Amino acid sequence: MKRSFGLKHLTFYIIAAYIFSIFFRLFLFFLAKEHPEFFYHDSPIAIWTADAGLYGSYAKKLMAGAKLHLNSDTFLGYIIYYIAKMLHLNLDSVIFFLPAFLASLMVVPIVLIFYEFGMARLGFWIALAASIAMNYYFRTHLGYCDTDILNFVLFFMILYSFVALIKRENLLFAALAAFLIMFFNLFYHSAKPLSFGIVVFFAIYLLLFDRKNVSGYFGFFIALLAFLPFSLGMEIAVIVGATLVGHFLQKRVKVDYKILLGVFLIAAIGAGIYGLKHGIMQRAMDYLQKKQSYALVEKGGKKIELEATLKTVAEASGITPTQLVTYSSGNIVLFILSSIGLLLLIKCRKEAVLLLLPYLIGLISLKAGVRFTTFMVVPIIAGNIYFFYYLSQKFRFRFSSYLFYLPAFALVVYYLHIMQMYNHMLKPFFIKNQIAAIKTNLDKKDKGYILTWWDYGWPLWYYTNKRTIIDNGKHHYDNFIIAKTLFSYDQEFVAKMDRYFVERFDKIYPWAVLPYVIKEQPLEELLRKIANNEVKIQKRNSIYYYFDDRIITRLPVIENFSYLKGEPKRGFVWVDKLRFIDPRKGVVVGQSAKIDLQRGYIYVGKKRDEVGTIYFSDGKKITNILPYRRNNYSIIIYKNHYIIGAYRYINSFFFQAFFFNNLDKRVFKTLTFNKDVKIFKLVGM
Amino acid sequence: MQEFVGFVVLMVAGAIAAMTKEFDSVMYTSVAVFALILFLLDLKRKKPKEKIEDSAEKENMKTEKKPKGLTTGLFTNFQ
Repeated sequence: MKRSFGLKHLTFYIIAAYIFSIFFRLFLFFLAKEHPEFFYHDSPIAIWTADAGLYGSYAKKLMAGAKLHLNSDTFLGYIIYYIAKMLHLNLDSVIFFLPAFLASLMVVPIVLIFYEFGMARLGFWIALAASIAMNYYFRTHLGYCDTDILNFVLFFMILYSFVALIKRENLLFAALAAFLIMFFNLFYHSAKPLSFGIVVFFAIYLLLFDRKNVSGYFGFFIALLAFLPFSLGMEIAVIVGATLVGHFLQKRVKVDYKILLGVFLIAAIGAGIYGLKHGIMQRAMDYLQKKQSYALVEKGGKKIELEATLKTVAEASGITPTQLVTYSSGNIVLFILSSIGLLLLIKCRKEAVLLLLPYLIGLISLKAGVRFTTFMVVPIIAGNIYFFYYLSQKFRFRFSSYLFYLPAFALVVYYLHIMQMYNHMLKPFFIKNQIAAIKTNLDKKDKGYILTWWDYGWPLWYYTNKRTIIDNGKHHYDNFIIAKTLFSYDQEFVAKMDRYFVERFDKIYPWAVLPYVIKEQPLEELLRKIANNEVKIQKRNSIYYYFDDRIITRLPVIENFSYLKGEPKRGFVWVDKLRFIDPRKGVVVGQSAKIDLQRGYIYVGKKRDEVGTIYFSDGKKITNILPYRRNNYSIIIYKNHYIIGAYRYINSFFFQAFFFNNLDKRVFKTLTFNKDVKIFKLVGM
Repeated sequence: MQEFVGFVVLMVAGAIAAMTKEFDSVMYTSVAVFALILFLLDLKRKKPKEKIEDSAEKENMKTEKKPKGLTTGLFTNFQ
């Protein structure tokens, strides 16, 4: 398997793998066609993940003629906008299908890297498998229009540039690496730690394995230039200039590698200090050391602490080793074989040590969250396929090539099988009925805010013309306002508080309002004044509340956010998935709780509690009430799907709104209340 | 060649799976189909070789008087 395969084969491998990846990614669309609720106005629903809502909303604004600053937040929005505009396509369709076309580009760096190793055929099989495998697919499927659809492509293209630089000793690949780093840093807000990590890893490679590689040193210097805080034009000029100078020095002057090694060591130390001082590693550290709380200082100097969000974000929470194995490779056998295969590959091709970086980033997911396992997919599959290739070379007999081809093919089929299983679990962020209700009630011309938990922020931006106080990117201090709203009993107080905070927020949009107002008066005093009508504020905005079933599993977290750190709690709330109801025995069985309907007891493990009332809800109305005793512990069996336990919260704003549609009609108006969606409007304040 | 075959088998299996909605069974069957095609290709590849060997032998018989190196070289090239 030598490089002599030539350009024709290489082109075939890349194009074939690209077509393969796009074709199989379209299976989610084929599946969606069987669900009418996944289509809205004859188009597949665009937003299948919250992040797609952000970029979709930017594209929508651009379509409407808005001018947005081009940066890592808006870049993907611009891509969507230009594609929709130039190809005269519907925005929903572009957002939905774009991941298939961009994420499939992953096959390019994979085939190219292995072409450089002289193993283009292996690269082809790895590209087939990796393009649709495990967490890479989970994070880049149709409708998942997030920066991840290009992040991994760019990451591996940068790796490829360094591999090609090592193999070919051509500084053009250093310039390519630098330009790709520049683009990556511009495209993705957290790219710098990743691209910086690649350069650091490359430096380690040079020191350990390739100290005499003169072009490697020049390449390192050129790549570092991509991190300097110059303007775009200046940066391009500096990189081109440095490449030309490096080429001249390399070819004409013949600089001794020992001199370059010395300069390299100084530059590496300088780069390390620069990286630390300019916060390049800070974002990575945020993931590793998640804040437990946010501290604010209010007027009078008193410090208040609020719950921190990142630790509650599922994808940012550390995962177990079993999850690591599952998300990266599918099962433990493949994981072990892959890891052995990767080591064998490194033994055979020392440049393959660069593939250890994505492997190690994958291991970080144990602490930093499941998203990082995505990096691991490529080295894992590469290791796996190389393992079988190694066997086919080691044990030579007539059909020894089968030892490689059949496992490689079977691996592709195995990942296709998982892909299709996963497709069955997916659904759009909002389904048809929800979008219809949102469009009817929340996309009117009036200026206003939608108050709901931050998960709904970006998708609501896309489908409405309203703002939110908290969203998927800004969920620090003002979570308290929403959580306090949802878990307060006094609906009149909720209305007054929401009016106050919305109107104050409107003046300082998009910054957080809580830190702003508590600088004027302490929070406790402010809330008391709001309750006693001592605060007057002019009504300028409409205020809406949006809820659907997605919020149910968030309730315990939201309840936590409704208190300041250290504040004594009034009650508790928990949510369990319902497994089955046995009417003959009179029991409701959840994943961890069991309810005795005859006596009104709830069992969690060996612990027993007495329940006051059990409510049955079909999502639209309460279908049955079972009163047992006078206490504040209530259970709601919701849609035969969830068991919700609430101690002292059944009269809170959220419970009365969501489960009972029982808000004070003088203050709130129900706009939509059905099985899929609940929308209310503040009318009385 | 194997890569081309693999690609075609996967795409055809995918098309059948999309039409029949029997994804898993079709895709897992494709592994067996791929193995079978590889085997047949393997056999086919051996066959012309045998023919070549035959023809080389015939050639060898015909050109008995020719210098040994030429036919040996020809045979080696074919191999």
